[in-house]
Amino acid sequence: MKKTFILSVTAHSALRALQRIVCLLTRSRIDVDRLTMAEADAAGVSRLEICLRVEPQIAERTAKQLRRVVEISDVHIQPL
Amino acid sequence: MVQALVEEGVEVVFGYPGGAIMPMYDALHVHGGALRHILARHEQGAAMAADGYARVTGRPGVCVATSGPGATNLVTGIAGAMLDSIPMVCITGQISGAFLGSDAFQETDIIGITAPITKWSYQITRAEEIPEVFAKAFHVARSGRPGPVLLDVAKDAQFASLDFRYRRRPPAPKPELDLDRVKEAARLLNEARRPCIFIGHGVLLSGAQKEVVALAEKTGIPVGSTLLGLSAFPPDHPLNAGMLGMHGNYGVNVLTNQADVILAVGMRFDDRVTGKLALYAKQAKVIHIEIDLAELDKNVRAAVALHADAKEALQELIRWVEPAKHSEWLTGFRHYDGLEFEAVVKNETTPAEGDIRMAEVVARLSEKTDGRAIVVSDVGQHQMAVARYYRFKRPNSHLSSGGLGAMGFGLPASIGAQLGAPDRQVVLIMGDGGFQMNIQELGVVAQERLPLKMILLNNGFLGMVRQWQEMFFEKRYSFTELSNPDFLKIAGAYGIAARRVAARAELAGALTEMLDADGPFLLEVVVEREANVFPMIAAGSAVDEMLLSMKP
Ligand SMILES: Cc1ncc(C[n+]2csc(CCOP(=O)(O)OP(=O)(O)O)c2C)c(N)n1
Repeated sequence: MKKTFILSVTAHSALRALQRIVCLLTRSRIDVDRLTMAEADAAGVSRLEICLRVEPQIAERTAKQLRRVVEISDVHIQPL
Repeated sequence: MVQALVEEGVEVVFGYPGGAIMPMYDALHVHGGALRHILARHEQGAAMAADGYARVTGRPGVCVATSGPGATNLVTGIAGAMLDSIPMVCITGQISGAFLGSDAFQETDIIGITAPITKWSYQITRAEEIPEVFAKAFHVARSGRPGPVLLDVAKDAQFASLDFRYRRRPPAPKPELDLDRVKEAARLLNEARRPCIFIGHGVLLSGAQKEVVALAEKTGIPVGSTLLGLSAFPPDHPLNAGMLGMHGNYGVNVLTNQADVILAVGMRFDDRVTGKLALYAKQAKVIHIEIDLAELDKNVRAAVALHADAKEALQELIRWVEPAKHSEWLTGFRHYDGLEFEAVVKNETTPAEGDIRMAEVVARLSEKTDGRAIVVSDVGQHQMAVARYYRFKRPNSHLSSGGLGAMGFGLPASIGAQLGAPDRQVVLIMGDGGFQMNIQELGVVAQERLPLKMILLNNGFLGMVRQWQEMFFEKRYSFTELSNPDFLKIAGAYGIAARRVAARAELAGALTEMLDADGPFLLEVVVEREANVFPMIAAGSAVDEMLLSMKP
């Protein structure tokens, strides 16, 4: 059963991270309700927040796959 | 860029020139001798040769291509390296920075195209970025679970000069071992009555072969291997239970569903291994040692998930397990081995009559080379014959496109393997379909005078697909029969010695002639046209529903 999750990602190169995030989401056919990308801070670190509707195992899998992305330093996923 | 490769200790690069990579090619010329460049005949060949080179040396393979078509031709090679965890650094030229995004001549967004199939990629638009980005590329390719990275370098950045200072980066530290979990794993193994160890490519990547043997011997647990783990465990060891998966061995597959504890090391429970996941090892407690966090609990839930380097984890685990023997459990494996031998192996490897079978060619080769050659296969029925019947006695000696299953892999990968291990006997085994997918790479074999031995198992069909048509599509052979050229003439045109055999009595002599030849040699063996690979777990079936022969 699909549930809504909030995925928070910290990345040091927002656009390249976003490209890989989108690849992973589309590959697993995950529905995205909303995506926000905040401006990078002084150190060039950006935050992305993505609201997803997905089965819990797929959410867990995707979070782990995102942690492999070199540009991404932190991933949090929480049910809404 | 050439300097950066030299700093990384790269000795060989595989590539193909073109407009957007010409400055780098000029540097290869000017600094000739710093690196050996092998000119592929298609960029896919360059990528797959770099992959084969990495598989035998354990060092990143490097390939180079121009922008546009050169870059897109690398794609299949990169995808294969990604799925099989092969460290590779792919360098593509790109149009100059000012024209990016304008659909300029030979502009393709190769970073976008390869994003899902690279571990990391980066577009360099300023020369000053080169040292740091190259160092990072090699670092990422080698660290943790290895994989391919792609560097796309704009032409103007290649032309510009820079103040070159290079700092190599060591591979990332291994994940910290969780001792409590190791002890918990040991407790499960100590209490187990029907345990199995399953090993994969990760064992070879971390160099944990000795540890696997030591653990298996101390605990008396049988060891099954995935396709890519094959050369990690001695073939003649009494605890060797054979290969897992679709065309693996009967006992280890059937008994997977009776095991109470499974220790999986450096393997990822691919669907070719598990068959129907819902019916896979549901009764077993799984201990999973894996360096890639994303593989833990992905397909199979682990009772104990150990995010660790295989070698480090096994070294610790060995200290905590108690010596044991599982004689009765092992008897079960022998029983199934006996059934498989009678139903399949005997007739495959020593048939009394009829056309030559793929398995007997592999078995004779295995005997003649004493299991010590590097054997590269392409994809199809012959690939399964190699995996099942070559008895690999040395590690990192079985090269196969596992995760991607890319036909055309064999010839270029064996070129890379021979260049990576010039003193070893390298034998390629391929089908008539896959040979023709990268047949142009014979040009490299000829130009470099590589002593590569090539065996073509010619059945006149795309055999593996024909088998599925026979089994699941009522023998409707839709476009799987090939009308083939005279392969001996093709070899001859390249100046490569060649011979064809169709009679069993000539097989042994022909293999000897091939192995003894100084230079390259193509041996075409005409094999049974409509043979099938068994045992088999049909797609959608459970591991314990493995078939020994065609259903009546
Ligand atoms: C690039 C690519 N295209 C298609 C396939 C599908 N495929 C898998 S095995 C096979 C047949 C291979 O035939 P051949 O090379 O003659 O080897 P054989 O199975 O006869 O040993 C095909 C077409 C593939 N694996 N790779």
